[in-house]
Parts: sequence; C-alpha cells; structure tokens
Amino acid sequence: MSPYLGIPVPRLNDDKFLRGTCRYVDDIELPGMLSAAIVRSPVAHGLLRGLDRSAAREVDLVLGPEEVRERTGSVPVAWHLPMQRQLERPLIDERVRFVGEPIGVVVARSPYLAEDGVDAIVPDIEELPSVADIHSALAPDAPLLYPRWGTNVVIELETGDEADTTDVVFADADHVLRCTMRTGRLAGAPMECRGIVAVPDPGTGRITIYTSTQAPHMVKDQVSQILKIPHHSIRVVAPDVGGGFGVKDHIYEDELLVCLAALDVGRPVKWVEDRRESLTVTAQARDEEWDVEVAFDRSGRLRGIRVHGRRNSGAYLSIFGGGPLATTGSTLPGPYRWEAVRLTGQVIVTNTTPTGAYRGFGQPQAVYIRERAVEMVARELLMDPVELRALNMIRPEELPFTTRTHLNYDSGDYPAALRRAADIIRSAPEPPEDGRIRGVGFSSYVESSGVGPTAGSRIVGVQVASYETAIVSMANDGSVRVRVGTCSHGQGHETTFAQLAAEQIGTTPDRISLVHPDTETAPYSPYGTAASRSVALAGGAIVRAAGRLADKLRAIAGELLEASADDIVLQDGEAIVAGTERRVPIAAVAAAGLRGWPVPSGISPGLEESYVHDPDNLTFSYATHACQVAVDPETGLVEIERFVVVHDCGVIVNPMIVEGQIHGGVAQGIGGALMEEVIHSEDGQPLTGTFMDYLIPTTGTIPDFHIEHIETPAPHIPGGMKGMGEGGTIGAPAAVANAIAAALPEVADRLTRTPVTPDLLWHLLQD
Amino acid sequence: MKPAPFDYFDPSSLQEALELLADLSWDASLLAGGQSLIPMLNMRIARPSALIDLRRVPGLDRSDIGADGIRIGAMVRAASLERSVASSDSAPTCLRQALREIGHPQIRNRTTIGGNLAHADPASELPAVFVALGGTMTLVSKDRGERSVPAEEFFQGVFSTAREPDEILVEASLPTYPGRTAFVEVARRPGDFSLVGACVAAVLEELVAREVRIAMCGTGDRPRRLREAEAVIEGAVLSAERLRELADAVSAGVQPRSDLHASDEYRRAVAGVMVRRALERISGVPS
Amino acid sequence: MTEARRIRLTVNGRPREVEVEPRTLLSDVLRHHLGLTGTHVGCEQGSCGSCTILFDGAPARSCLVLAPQAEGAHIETVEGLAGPEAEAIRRAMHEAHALQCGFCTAGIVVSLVSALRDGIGQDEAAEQVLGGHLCRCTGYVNIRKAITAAWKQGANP
Repeated sequence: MSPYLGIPVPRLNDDKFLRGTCRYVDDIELPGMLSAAIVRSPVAHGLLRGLDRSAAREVDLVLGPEEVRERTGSVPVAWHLPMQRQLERPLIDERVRFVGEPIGVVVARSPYLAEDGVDAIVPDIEELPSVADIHSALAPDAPLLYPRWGTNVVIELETGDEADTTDVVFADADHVLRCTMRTGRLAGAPMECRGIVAVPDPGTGRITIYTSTQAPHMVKDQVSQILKIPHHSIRVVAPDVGGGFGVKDHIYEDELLVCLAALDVGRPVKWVEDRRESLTVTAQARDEEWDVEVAFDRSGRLRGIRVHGRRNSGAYLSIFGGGPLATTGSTLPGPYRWEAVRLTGQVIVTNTTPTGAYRGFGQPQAVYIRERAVEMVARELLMDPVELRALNMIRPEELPFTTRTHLNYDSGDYPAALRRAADIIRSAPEPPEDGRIRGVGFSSYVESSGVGPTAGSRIVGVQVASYETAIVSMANDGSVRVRVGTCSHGQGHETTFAQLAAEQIGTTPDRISLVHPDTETAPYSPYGTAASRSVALAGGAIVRAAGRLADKLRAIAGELLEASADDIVLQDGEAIVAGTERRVPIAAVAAAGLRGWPVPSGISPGLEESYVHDPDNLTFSYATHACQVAVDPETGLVEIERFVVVHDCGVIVNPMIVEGQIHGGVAQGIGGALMEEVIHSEDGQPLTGTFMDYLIPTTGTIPDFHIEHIETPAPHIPGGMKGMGEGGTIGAPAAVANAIAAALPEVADRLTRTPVTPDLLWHLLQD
Repeated sequence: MKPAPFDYFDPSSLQEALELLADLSWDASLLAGGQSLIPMLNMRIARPSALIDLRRVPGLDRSDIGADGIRIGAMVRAASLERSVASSDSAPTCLRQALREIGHPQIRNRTTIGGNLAHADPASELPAVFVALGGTMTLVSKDRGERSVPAEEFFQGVFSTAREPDEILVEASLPTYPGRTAFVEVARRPGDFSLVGACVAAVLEELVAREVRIAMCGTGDRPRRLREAEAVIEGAVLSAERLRELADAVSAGVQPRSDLHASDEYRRAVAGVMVRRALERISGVPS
Repeated sequence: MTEARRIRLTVNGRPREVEVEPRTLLSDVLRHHLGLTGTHVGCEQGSCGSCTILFDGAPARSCLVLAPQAEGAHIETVEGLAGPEAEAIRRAMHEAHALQCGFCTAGIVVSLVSALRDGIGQDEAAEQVLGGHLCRCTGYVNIRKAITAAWKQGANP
C-alpha cells in the first residue's frame, strides 16, 4: 500500500489562492512599465491600407501594419495534413479576415490611456464582401479569403477505411441510419483572460516574457522565429495561470505585437486581454457539421460508420490546423468493434474568429456523432441502448485492440464501466411528479490521451515535439526539485508530481517542489500542458528520473550504512537498512552525494537525474457517462438532475484531483450541450461578447455527480497513469443530448445539434 | 475595458443635482447604483461627457411600507428593499418574488430601485410589477418642479422612459392591492435576465377573479397591462380551461421581439404559459 | 473634472488615499494603486464575481464601482479577511478541493466569508451567494461541499 499514490493529498499550493498572494500576469508590476492596447479590424474582410493615427494623444508608441510586416516572419501552422493549403501566414497580412484581427498596437502610460489611444486610431480598410458560415463559404460564387487558392477549402482529409471497403460493409448491412448533425461554436473562456508582460533588456538585447500560457517553450520558439530574435535571448515564464483549456496553447498575434512594442520602447510593456476580446478574438472551437451514416444489422450489431464533416476554421488555420477534425476521425470508433470506420472532411475558412484547440479537441465531436447515432439505432431496433452498446463493445480479453483508425487501445474493461453506470442511474430513486418529462441518456467513449509518441506525432502530422523530460534533483538538505516541461494551470501538478516523486524517493510531498514553468529551467516542451498528457508523459518521466535518483541514493546510503544497496529502503525522509534500526537522514545521503564522497565506485558525484519519456503509444482512458434530465416541455428548459461517471484513467495518483478534473470537464460539456454558443452575424460581427450573451454554467445548472473509478494500469507508462483531463468534456454532451432524446422520443431523431437551448427545444416540440 | 473619460460631479443636494442636470442634460448620465450604467461605460457603449453621481444627495434612500402602499426612494438598494419587504406583511408577494430574481445578492447590494426603473430594460422584472399594480413615478426637474407619472405611461420603449433629460426620478410608489399577486419568470440560468416574466394579480372570491392585472417583461419593448387578456378572466370562475384561454389571449396580446436568447414565437407562447402558471399559483387551480 | 481627484477610503482597516481619474474602477484602484492584487478582474461587465470585495460590509463587484463612489467607504479585500469565519471558509475550500486555477477563488472567499458572518443560511449561500460567481474549472461541486463543511462547523442554520 503506497503512502503517496492513490491518496487524496490536499493540494500543496492552495494557500496563495485563498489568501490572495498568488501572482497572475496582470499582478506583475515593474518599474517603468507601460500598458498596451490592440488595434483591431472592425470589419470581417477587407484590404488593409494602414492606420490613421493622427488623433491619438497621450500615447508613447503606435505600431501599424507596415512597421510590423517589415520586421516579422510568418506564423506557422504546426500540424500538417496531406491536402492542406496553408502552412504559414504573415503576422499582419495585406488583408484583414475577421472582426477583431490585430492590425496594430498602442502603448501608453495606463490601460485607460492605451484604450483611449486605440479609440482615436482610424483603420484604413477597403471593405470586401465576407462569408461567416460554412455553407456561404462553399457556395460557388462565395467571396474568397485567399483568392490564389480558388476556394475557401483549406484542408481536405480522410481517415480510417477506404471508400470501397466501407461501401462493401454498408451494402451488406441490414439497415443504414442517416442524418446530419451540427455542433455550435464554443469559446474556452478561462476565468483569467490572456495576458503578457514583455520585459526587454536594451543593454543585452534579451527579452523576458511573462505570459499566461500553457506552453512557455512554444511561446519562446514562436517569438524567436516570428520576431527574428535569437533563441537564447528569450526567456518565457508562466506565472500563475488562471485556466487554459486549450486556448492558451496557441500563439497569438496580439501577444507578438506587444513584444515588438516592448523592444521598441525599451521598457516593460503589459497587455491583458479584456473579456470581450476573450470571447470574440481568442481561439474558438467546434463549429462543425457532419453527414452521418451508420450501417447496422437487425441483431444490433454495428457494422460501419461513415461521416463527412465540415469544420469552420475561421479566418485562418490556427497552430493546430486540421488537428481537431482529424482527431474526430481517429477517435470515431470509440469502444466498439466496427468493420468499417471512415471520415472524410473539409476544413473551411470563413471571415470569423479562427478556431483551434479547446478541451476535447475533436473527441467530443466524435463521441456526439457516434453516441447519438447509437441511441438512434437502439430506438429503431427497440433495443435497450445499454444492451446495444454491450453487444458491440470490445471486451477486456480483446485488448490490446487496433481500431480501424489505427489506434492501439491499451487496457481496460469498457463493458464494466457501462454496466456500472447503467446500474447506478437506473437504481436511483423515483423523482417527484412535477409535470416535467424525464429521460436518461448514456455516452461511452475511449479517450485518446497521453499525447504522445514521437513516431505517432510524425505520422499524424504534428510538427512539434511531443515527448516529455523530467529532471529530478536533491539538495543538501534532502529537499527535492522536479523540473518538467508541462505547465500547470489548475490541474494540481505541484501536488500530483510531488506524490509521484515521493513514491520513488521516500521524501514526503511537502519537501518536493515542482519548479515553476520557466524556459530557463524547464526542459524543452513545446506541447506543454494540453491533450491530457501531463500525468502520463511528464509523470511517467518523473517516475523514471526519480527512480534513478532513488537508485543512486540507495547506493550511497548503502555505502554510509555498510549495507547492500538492495537492502536499503527510502522512507519518510530517511534511508533505512531493511529489517534493522540502522538509518540515516536523507540529508546525510544527499550531502555525501553532492560532495562526492563517500560514494561507491562507479557512481558519479551529484544528485540530478533526468529522463526523456517518449512512450510507445498513446494512453486510452475510457468511461461511460449516464445523465438524467428533467424537461419542461412548455418552456424548453432542461435541468440536469443526475450525472454519473464511471471511468478508468489507469493508476490514480490523487483521486481528489482526478474527480475535480471530471467535475470541471463535465460542467464544460454540459455548457456546450445546453447553453454555450459563439454567434457571428451574417457579416461576421461577433454577437456574444459578454458573459450575458455567452452563457457558461453556474452552480444552479450543475448537479452533484456520482463518480466511480476503475483502475487498469497503462501497460506502457511508468507508473501506469493514463491522461484524463478532457474526459468530462468529451463524454458529457452526448449523454445530455441522449437524455433529452430519451425524454422526448417524438423529437429524438431531430435532436441533432448543440446547444439545445430552450428556444431550439421548444421549436422542435411544436412541429 | 475601461470607461472613456468623463467629467464627474457628486452634488450634495437635490437642488444642486437638478441644476447640474439642467446645464448638462444634453450629454450627462445619472449614476445611481451603477450596475447597469458602469458595464456600459466599461464597454464604451455609453460615453456621456458628464456623470452626475446621486450618492450624496440626501433623502432618496428611504422606503416606507405601510397599509396605504409602498413608497420607495430612488436610491434604495434592492437588497435593502428585499429586507424591508421580507419583514413586512403589507408588501405584495410579486414584489418580493421579483426582487429575488434581480441578478444575485452582490448586484442587489448595489443596484437601486430608481436606477433599475429608469434604465427600463424590457427584460427587467420591476417595471412589470409597477405596471401591473398601477405604480407611480415621481420626477423632479429644476425648471418644472415635481410631477407624477403613472407607471404604464412611464415606460415608453427599450431603455426609454417619460423622464426628460433634465429630470431625476426621485421616488417610485405602489398602491395597496387587495388581492393576491405573483411574479413568475423563465430564465436560462437562475439569476439571469428573464426571457419572459409575468406579474399577475387577482382578487379571488372562491375561484372568481376580479381586479385582474397582468403585465409582462421580455415580451416587447416595454411592460404593458394586457387588458384584453385580463378581460378573459375578469369576473369569471377560474378553471383549467379558462386559464388555457387566458394563456392564448396573453400570447395574442404581446408583441415580442427575437434576440440571441429567444425567438419571438417562443416568447409569445411562453408568455401565455407564465401567466397561466402565475394564476395557478395564486388560485390553486391545477394545470 | 476628468482629471485626477483625491479619494479617501478605508481598506482592510487602514485609511488609504489615492489620486485617480474619476473613471478609474475600484478594482484598478485596489490592484494597481494600492498594490492589493488578490482581487481579480474577470470580466469588467459585472457577470463573473472574481472582483468581489466587501463594500461597507456587503459583497459587491469592484469592477462596477467607480473610484469616487468609494469615497469614505470601508473596503475589505481577500488579503484582509481574518477571523474564525475566514479561516473556516479557507480550510473548508482547501479540504474539499474547491479551487483549481484559483482565479475566481478570492471573490468566492469574500462572498462566503461575508455570508457566514451575516448568518445567511447554508442553502442560500450555496444557491444565491455562489450563484453570483462564475467558475470554469471546478464545476462548483466541491465549492458546495466546502460550503456544507464550513456551515456545519460554523453551526449556522
């Protein structure tokens, strides 16, 4: 029984947040610091001629398109698919392509004056006709965002089986279900807006950048490449980061402009996004439509699934390119055996905010498509949707299992999670009679997490490193430092990673500190904290690196205690000869190791071990979500009454933190299912720029959850952990939609879009 | 998002405030609780060149709840009125219920009754209560002195009232109402602006309804008495059938608009549902 | 009249004085003129509650207060909260894992400490008071757990 693993250790770093001594980007004050504000395009499409800055008063600097273009390189897309028209783009182009696109920066003595400055600047833009939605962009005479392409389709992709293989399966099946589904556009909306403080050192040419990011090394790479600054001159530090959810894993033009401005004025410059920018300019997500076909037999056997998807990319490809849609394709099979799985897709540019990464990254879409279809099939066959799933689920003895989309599922028991979730929700007490209609819906999924093997990233088209490195070192006093490239922004790595290191070294977690993310000290990691990868990749690296350090400590302790290293136990900050009372404090072992004697021959001095973790495979968490809703048919209001999650994320380091991730993820999934939607007008104007219009869940909209854990270790990850941070968001929307469909069978088959707002549901019920 | 610059005044008397307003009315905003104005300033949707803060003007923050009605000073905070109403038997239930729907406690601690009414957001709850119960607004200006405007005339359109630019709303009052009242709304999340809200009042003898009052929020550019709908049940015995008729009459009588949150058809239909449910609550007639 | 004016207010029990333009928001006065960065700015629209402070003892959104409106006011921020209720709320939130990224936390602590001090009931705190706060990380479940624990301990109805 481990003293540190599987224990709900309360988080080590809570105090500063509870007392207000934390430091987010906007809390940074430096002598001589100035404030920036961003000049943005007021129109969705146009030829950018310049800025009229004659009316700007009380400003220290204005940079416009011309100055920026001559000093900067291109912004890359870091995911390359075979049929992709855009691999890079200028920082500020000759045209603007979405409302809010950065076209200049103002620096002044305060944010108030900087905003006044922006107000006084008049962009000179010759407006062009625009398109704001997928269908308009695909129309034959649609205005083109990139005329030289001759089209607004920027990526064509296909995943899974070939067309003819799929056709054969479909022809052979008893039935084919067909429908069109759609997911609305979402905004990540972390509570802390983006922000950056760029601190130039004119004497040395160096620049230090504090920024609210999920990946400091990615920022450093991009600043170097795009602003043409030597890599070694740049230091990027992530202070406390108030949520990311994927949106802070991009590089943004506005942040780069602030860096340029700081270099020009030679003083620190701070820019913090406001909430309207956060909801209208920061990378958005989803906004897809799919034609879905499922081939199945009378017996309930699922034979094939074929999807054609169209994704709205916004004005250009974000750094993640077509990754989300490709991920929808690869994760489409879920926990079922299929004979054919095929997705073809198009990513389409429109004059709206660019879309990129947001919690789930294409997997919520795959689950929505598949799990909605599964329950439609069940309804058509008059089968229990749980039994239908069970019939088709990959059984534990079939694992490892290679899907039609080349994912190698590692370990687990998908049917067990399904059965348990069904039992829990079906044995809940009868709700009161209150005139509302109730229904229960399910969603089962396998989450592709722990991104990822270098070889896999290469195949998939990812252009950045996806391995993780851990460096674990001990000081003279026996305290331990852990350095990794990931970057916690709420997930509690300070605690879980300390628990992992403690498990190896025997030092208590409170004496193990995770070094704050700083490119000067953090090992290289452009992927950062995203893609449910930290505990598997960085955690696995820590297990190995700390394990090596522990081996060394045992060898040195053996020397001190005149025993064999194999007989040494590291526990509670001491080294003990097993079965005896002979012991030394770990600090004594550390002192010996750092001094260089006494150590056994063959052991080098020093106490720092590192490990580069490039795993053999992704990891595959899985779960079944079960949801009960109560629907008021007269108002279309939907209440989530019960939500059950039975999941398996491998070895759990800290169950309290894991459950917290599930709570938050499911809440975001519920938000996307019922109330969140980014809306642009026909001429590309953002209409949901406040929290009164972009509605995220509040306490009254989220019930308590019932969560149960299964732990099937990941066979190929040191420590056995699987990533799970996105699982809640991945599974919840389908479960909610299925529950509403179960409550209202008369509209079930037309419930094919999210969010299900009261207005939408009411309209469906009228027809 | 920071406000654009403005000249700021904080007069220490009503007279001083009125004089400032008379001079600056062409481009001055009155600041009461700030919960509606300051977001608009922050977003630079509102850019008055002058702000006249009423916080130091004495005498505007008293409320009086008694057997002959309720008088509320314009600067009374919603939270304060909530407490007064809770500890009084004379206040109509619909007022208590409507106050509870205004945002959250943190908003209610600052927002004022006068500010809320003068802002005249068509989705706002209190205007519907004042129209339903026949409230009165008292306005004062430097040049024309004091005048009273019935609530139904006070609310003229979206963010538009009978208040002239040089007038200050100093008091709002509600007469006593002898019957039962209710305020019901549907919102997307608890505490949000209503999509549709209904303030309903009726004197009930057995199940016969008299002195029926119905006014709504979220169903048009301003709250109006729905007199045709009221006539459907005035003097009638309430029944499930009759209430369904009433709901249809309400739906026919409102002129809602579509927006991001709900379509006009939705608001029209749900208006009827809200009124029906409010009457069910008052009368005990089951649905 | 747009120029800076002197504002005198009491913050966390200490008299303070700032000279700011009247359009300066109280949240910015606290954070950038008085160095109290524990109060966070999440929206400046009055929706999220991250900037919640106590204004004359009552929770209010500091992004919706202009500096001159705070003349003579008693302001309490998260940094200044002390006493048994504050410790009970902090301990309960820590033990219940009621915070993740921490950005919305200060505002919630302020609102809940005030509720506990004022004898507000547990259900009212979990629905109405917490209802005025947006959190993107926790899904609120553990915050409600913390409220239950803190109220049970505080022996409040």
